[in-house]
Amino acid sequence: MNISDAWGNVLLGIGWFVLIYMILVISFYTILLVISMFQLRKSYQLDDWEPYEELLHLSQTKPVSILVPAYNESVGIMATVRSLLSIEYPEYEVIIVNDGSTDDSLEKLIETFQLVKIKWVIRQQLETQPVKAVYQSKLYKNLLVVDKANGGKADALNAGINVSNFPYFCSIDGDSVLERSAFLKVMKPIIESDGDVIASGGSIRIANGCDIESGEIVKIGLSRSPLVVMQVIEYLRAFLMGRIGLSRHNLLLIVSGAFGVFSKSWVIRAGGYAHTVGEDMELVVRLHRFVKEEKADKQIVYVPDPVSWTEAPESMKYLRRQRSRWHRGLFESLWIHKKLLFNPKYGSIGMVSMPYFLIIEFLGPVVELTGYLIMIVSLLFGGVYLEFAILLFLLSIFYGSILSMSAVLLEEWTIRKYPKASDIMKLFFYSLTETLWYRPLTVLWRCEGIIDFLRKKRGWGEMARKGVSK
Amino acid sequence: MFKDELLFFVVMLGIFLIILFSIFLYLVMKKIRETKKRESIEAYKEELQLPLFHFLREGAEEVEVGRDPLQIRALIELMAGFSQTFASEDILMRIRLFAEDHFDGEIKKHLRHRRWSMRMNGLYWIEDFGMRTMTVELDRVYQSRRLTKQEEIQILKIYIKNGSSDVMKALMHPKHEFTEFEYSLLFQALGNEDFEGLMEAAGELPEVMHHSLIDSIGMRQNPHYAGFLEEKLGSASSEIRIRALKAIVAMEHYLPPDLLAEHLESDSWQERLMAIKVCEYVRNPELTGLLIGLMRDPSFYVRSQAAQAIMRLERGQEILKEMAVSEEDLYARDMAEQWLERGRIT
Repeated sequence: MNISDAWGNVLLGIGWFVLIYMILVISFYTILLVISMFQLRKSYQLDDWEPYEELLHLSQTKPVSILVPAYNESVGIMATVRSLLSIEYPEYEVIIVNDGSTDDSLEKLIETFQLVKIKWVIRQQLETQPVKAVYQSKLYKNLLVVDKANGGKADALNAGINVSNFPYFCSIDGDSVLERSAFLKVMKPIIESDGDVIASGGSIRIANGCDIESGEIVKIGLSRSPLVVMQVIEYLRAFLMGRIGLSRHNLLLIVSGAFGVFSKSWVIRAGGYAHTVGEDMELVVRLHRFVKEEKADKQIVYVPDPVSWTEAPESMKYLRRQRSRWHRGLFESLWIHKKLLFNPKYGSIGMVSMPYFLIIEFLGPVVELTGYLIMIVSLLFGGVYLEFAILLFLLSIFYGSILSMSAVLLEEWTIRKYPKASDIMKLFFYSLTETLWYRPLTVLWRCEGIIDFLRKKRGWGEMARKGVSK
Repeated sequence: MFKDELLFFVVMLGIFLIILFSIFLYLVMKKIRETKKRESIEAYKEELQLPLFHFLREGAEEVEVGRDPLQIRALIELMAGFSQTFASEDILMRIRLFAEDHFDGEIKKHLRHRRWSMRMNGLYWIEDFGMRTMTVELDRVYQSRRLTKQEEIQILKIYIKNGSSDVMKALMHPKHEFTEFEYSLLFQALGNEDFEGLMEAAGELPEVMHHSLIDSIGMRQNPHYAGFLEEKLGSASSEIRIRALKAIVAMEHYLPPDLLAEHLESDSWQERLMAIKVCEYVRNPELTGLLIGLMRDPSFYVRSQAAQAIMRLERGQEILKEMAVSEEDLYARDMAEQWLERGRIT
C-alpha cells in the first residue's frame, strides 16, 4: 500500500465516521420532529384566551417579579418596559437592573417614568456587585430600577433576585417585547402543578421585520435581510423541534435568558446565576442537578405558544460574535457539570440530556466542519473520493435544509404566527438554501467559540442594536 | 464504489423534496383559502354585530340565521364575546336560548372532532353560553376513553354550573388526578348548595381537596364559613393553620387580638406572616407591641410585613420614625426607613 492509498483510507475512515454521525443525528432530530408534530398539532386553533382567563382571577396565580438586566440598552429598553407594563397578569413588579451602563439608559428611564430614589432594604441572598441606588416610579408603583456597579448579566440578575418581592421571577432581555398574554401562558404550568414545575420557558422569536409600537407587536412580518430570515428559520427549528421533544420528558437543559420564569426559592437554594457567558443554560443544568441531589420530583418545562420578540443581529460581525459566545457558553455549562455526564445517579439528565448536548449540540459543528473539509479534500483527489464528497454533501442537505424546511412547515401547520402566505414562501425557499451558505458559516463561528474557550477568552463582546420599536 | 449509496441518497432526497414541496403547496393553498374564510367571517361579524347586540340588550327581533357555516362561526365568535361582557340575567338567558337554537350542530361537530383543541373549544362555548341541551353529548365525551384531564375539568365545570346531581361523586372520584389548583378551580364554580354539601364532607376529604376547600372559602368571601376557618386555626397541622389564616385575610374576617397573638408567635414564619396580614385590617393597638417585636424577626418577609402593618396603625408613622432613629436592631431600623419612604411614594 503506497502513501496515497493509506491517506485515502484515512480520509475514507473519517468520512464514514462523519457519515454515520450525521445519519444518527438526523434520526434523533426526526424523532424530536415527530414528537413535536403530535404535541403542537394537538393544540392547533385552541382558543387563544379561554384556557388562561381564569388565571387572571384566582388567588392561586402567584405574583411574579420581572427582572430585566440592562447594560447599554438605551435603544431598546423603553419599548421593553412599556411592553412589560401593559401585560395581562394579576400581580407583578418590573425590576430593571442597570448594570453600570455607560450610555444614557438610566437617565432616560428616570425621566420617562419619573423615577424617585428610595431607601430599599436588600435581602442579600446572593452575592453581587454593590447596588448604588434603588428607584421607584411615581407613575407605575410596580416599576423599580436598580442601579448597580457593572458585574455582568448574571450578577445583574442576582441583584434583581435580591431586590425582588415575589416568589417567582422572570428574566427578560432588555431588547425584548412580550406578547400581552405571554405571562399567563408561561406561568400556567407552574400554577397548575401546585409548584411541581419550578421553571418554565417560552419561545423567542425575531422581531426584525415586525411592526412594534409603544412596546406592543402590531404586525408580524419578516425582515428583508437574508441573514435575519435564516435566523428566523434557525429559531423555529431550535424551539419547535428541539425543545418540545426534550421538555416532554423533562430533559430540557435550556430555558432562554430572554424569556423564562423560575421559582425564586429553588434558584436561591441552587446558588443563583453563575458568572458564565451562558448563564441561562448553566442555571438550568444546576437546577436539574440540585433537584436530583435533593431527590425532589420537580420539572422544568417549555411552553411553545407565549412569545418574546427579540432583536437579532443583522450583520455578520455581530452574528459571528453571538454564535461563538453561545457555543462557549454551552461548553462552559457542560464543563462545570461534567460530573453529570453518563452518570446514572442523575437519571435521564445524566444519561440523555447531557450526552445529547455534548455529542450533538457541542461536537456537532466539529464533526460538520470535518465533513466540509473532507468534501473539499475529496474533490481534489477525484475518482471514488469525488463520489464520497457528493455523498456527504447530499447528507448535509438532509442535515441542514430538509430539517429546517420541515421546521418551517411545522410552524405553518401548527402555530401559524406569520399571517402572510408570502412570508411562509420566503421562509421555505430560504431554508432550502441553508446548507449552501448559512450552515457552513454558523459551523465555522461555533468552532471559533471552541477555540476562544481554549484560548480562555472571556466576556460577551459588544452588540450594536438599532431597536425594534417605533 | 459509492454508486449505490449515491443513487440511494439522490432518490431519498428527491422523495423528501417532493413530499416537502407537496406539503408546502398544500399549506400555502390552505392558508390562502383560510385567509379568505377569515375575511368572510369578519365581514359577517361586522354586519351582525349591531342587530345581535340589539337582540340581546332589548330582546329585539331575532337575528336571521342562514345555513352558511361561516355565518354560524361569526355568530359564535360574537356571542362568545358578548357572554363575557354582559352579566345581566336576561341577556345571559337570551344568549343561552339563541345558542341552543342555532349552535347545537356546530358545537356537536366540535365535540366529535379528532383533535383535542377542537373538542376543548366546543366545551368552552358550552360553558360560555350556559347551554343545557348538550348533556347527552357531554356525557359521551366524559365517558370516552380518550378523555383528557383538561376536558374532564371543563366538563365537570359545566356539570357544576348546570346543577348536575352526580357532580359531587364525580369530584370525589375523578378520572385523572387533580392538583389543588384544579380543585380550587372547580370549587369556585360550585353553587351554594353543593358547596355546603362539600363543607359537610370536609372531614372525609383527601388532603389535596381539603386544602383547596379552605382556599375556596377565602375566595368566596362568605362570612357564614368564618367559624369553620376559626376552627381550623386550632389544627395541629401548620399548613392548615396557614391556609385558614390566608382565607381569613381574603375575607377580611375579624380575629380577636388574643387569638391573633398566638399566631403572631408561631414557630412557622409563614404563619406569622399571615397573622400579620390579618393585623393589617384589624388595626388593634393592643397588637402594636407584638408587631414591633416582629420587626426584629429572623425572617425578612415577616419584618417587611410587620412594618407594613405598623404603617397602617393610627400612630404607625410615628412608631416607624422612632424605630428608624433609635432601634438597636439594624435590620429593623432599615426596614422602618424603607417603609417610611414607600409610604411617601404610594
